[in-house]
Amino acid sequence: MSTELPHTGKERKSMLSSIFLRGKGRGDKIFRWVVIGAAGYTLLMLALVVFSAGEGALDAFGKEGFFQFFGKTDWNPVEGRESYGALPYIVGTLVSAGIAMAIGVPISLGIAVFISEIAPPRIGTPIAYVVEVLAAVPSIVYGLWGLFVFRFWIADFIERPLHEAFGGSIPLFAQTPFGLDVFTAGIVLAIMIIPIISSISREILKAVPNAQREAAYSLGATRWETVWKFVFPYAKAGLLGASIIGLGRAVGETMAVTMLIGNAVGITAIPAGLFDQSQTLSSVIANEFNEAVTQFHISALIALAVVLFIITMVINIGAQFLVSRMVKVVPGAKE
Amino acid sequence: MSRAEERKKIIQEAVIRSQTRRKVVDRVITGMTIACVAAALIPLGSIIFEVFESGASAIVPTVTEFSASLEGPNVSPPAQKSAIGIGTFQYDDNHHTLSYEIQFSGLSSSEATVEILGPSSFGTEPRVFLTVTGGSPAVGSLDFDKLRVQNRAAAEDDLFEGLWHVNMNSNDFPDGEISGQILPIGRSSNYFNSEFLTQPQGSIVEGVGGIGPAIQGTMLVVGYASLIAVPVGVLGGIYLSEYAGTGRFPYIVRFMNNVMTGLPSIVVGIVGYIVLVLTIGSFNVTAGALALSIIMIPIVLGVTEETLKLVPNSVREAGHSLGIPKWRVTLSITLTSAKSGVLTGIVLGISRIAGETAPLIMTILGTSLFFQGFLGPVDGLPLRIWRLASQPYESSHEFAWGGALVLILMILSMSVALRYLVLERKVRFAKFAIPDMTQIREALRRR
Repeated sequence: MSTELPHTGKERKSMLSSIFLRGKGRGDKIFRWVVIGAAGYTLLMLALVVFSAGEGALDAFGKEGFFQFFGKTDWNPVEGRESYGALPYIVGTLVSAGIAMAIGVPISLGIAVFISEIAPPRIGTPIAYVVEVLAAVPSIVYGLWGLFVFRFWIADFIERPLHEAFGGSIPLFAQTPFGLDVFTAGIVLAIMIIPIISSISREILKAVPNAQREAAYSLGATRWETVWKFVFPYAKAGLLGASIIGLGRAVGETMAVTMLIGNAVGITAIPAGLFDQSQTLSSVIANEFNEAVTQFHISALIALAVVLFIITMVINIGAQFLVSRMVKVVPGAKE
Repeated sequence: MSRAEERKKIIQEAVIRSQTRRKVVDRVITGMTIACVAAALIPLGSIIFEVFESGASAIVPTVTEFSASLEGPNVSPPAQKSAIGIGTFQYDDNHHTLSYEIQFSGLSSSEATVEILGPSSFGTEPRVFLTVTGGSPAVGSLDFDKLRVQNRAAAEDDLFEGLWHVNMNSNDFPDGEISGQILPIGRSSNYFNSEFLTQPQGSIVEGVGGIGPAIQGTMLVVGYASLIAVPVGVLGGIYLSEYAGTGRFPYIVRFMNNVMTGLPSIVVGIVGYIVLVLTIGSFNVTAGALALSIIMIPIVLGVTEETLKLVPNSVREAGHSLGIPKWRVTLSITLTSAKSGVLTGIVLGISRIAGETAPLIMTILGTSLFFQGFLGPVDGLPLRIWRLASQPYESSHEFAWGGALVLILMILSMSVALRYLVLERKVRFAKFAIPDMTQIREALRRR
């Protein structure tokens, strides 16, 4: 290199960078596009979910009508007399998820309060860990346990006494309890969503600044008053979001519900009481998909998946907005 | 006492009363939160107990040994004394079979009929479970599942209590020449049932065979799905943490990614069905892997992003100051120093998809055969558990519990391996600050 150094600063700079970065810019450019491609791939997959569900359901929506499909109650897969409606399964899904929420949310909040407000860390941390182990149990194992163990507990210790005491007077308990019903499915769903709701709620309660608690204690509030009147109002949005994430899980849960809900079909899937057999959107798909013969039947099942997709999307997007206001959740970490 | 003092006293009393009441309320509330914790822990305890207890008998069945000494005087009316027989029995808990070997000598004829009898109570004839004619030794087995199903447990109880008999009839003594009680020796020997883990399923009613294809299929599908999801998830996480700014595209990716974690798995299965099963024309392993990868990607991506964000900037700057291009800095320095967090995310994702059942129904279908090629159905462990649990036979339920135990052990061993093989060593040789999940949570809390 016998050439003189260029005189202007700009030229000098370009020459220097060309010495140090010779051929190195290309790798960067390629890698940049690779990672953008990976990020785009995830969007593509979501689009693929939407596309394939829509594509598969087109036949059913075309024959039944989009809005009529939501409102119809009959479900007849017999060839030639086929007629499908989603309403009973939507009701079944919402009822079982509602039972799960009614039982799961108070318990989850209790656990969250116990771990973050009451128990010393020495006790709270292992309990938090053990509760999260609940989340690592696959849903099929919950189903197995529910079917062979838990169902008999529920039937013997809760359903039968309730039925005998109130069966005549309150229509909610009128059905003869059998163990495989919307009530059992709701309770097992509650057990499944407890770890999710309680761990997110715990994070949210920990995000409440300590000044909030100290102010309450300095006014002479007891622990209960502190939690109920000072901490909960502060964390309202986040706790609501946590519950809604739990609701999203309960609505989309398949295997445990399929094994426990009793699998009624058509209009009978609308539960008349707590101890009545029912069916959810996901369980009817799981039950009938491999037995579906006609194209129309398969399409109707995929249309149910579309309904489920719409419900969970609304729930999840709402929850995302609520939770991200309080705390950002690690995806997957708390499931 | 002046009015002022009186008033003061009244107020004090009221304060004390309200304080004690509030303390009681406080205690009650504390008790209720503890009850909530118990409400979550009791099912967990029961699940773990049942899976390990019921599942273990499929993998490590128990063999109980029995013996019987057959003698003439045991028969009524007492028969000749020179005849003698010795029987050894083994009851296999898994296959519900009682195998026997009876040697006898000195009977009035060389051939005799072996009768295995249930308990005899006053006034009723004992039930005859088996009648076989032959010479010494008489060898064979009695299948309890061939008895009426509801009677099996009762029959087992009677057998274990020593209420069964074995009788030998010969031509001269059609009502029995020698007889003896089948008594448990009290020694139970366990054996490892490798057949359960390696063989395809045989007859469900007899409870033979195993769940080999299901284990193979699960490993295949999960491995295949990870092959797709790990690179995409990690690279996507790198994009969001290292390359994306605050533009619209990264925001959409991040948001949609969060939404995807809440997608019902049964909806995801439809992608595999429409895109691959219908086009190929058969249920296949690729469709299952595609569906599972869609469940896994957002988990890996999210954890990778959060972990990379925790790597201090000085680490990156050190790399850049050496003139290393950004992609090398990202892969060899930033990603390496965040390795434990990324690995945790990957294991989290794998353990999530290993237990997924719903997408497999519409993608890999399930079969009782081992892997037959990429264009045919394969089996999956959760799928097999579901199918077995739906059968009305007790032996298939036992298989389902065994499958659940294998599944849980697979998931558990993966996180244990991660913790003790990878993370521990990394900590020892750490050069940079290594964020792990607790640190991630800390950071999230601070935000």
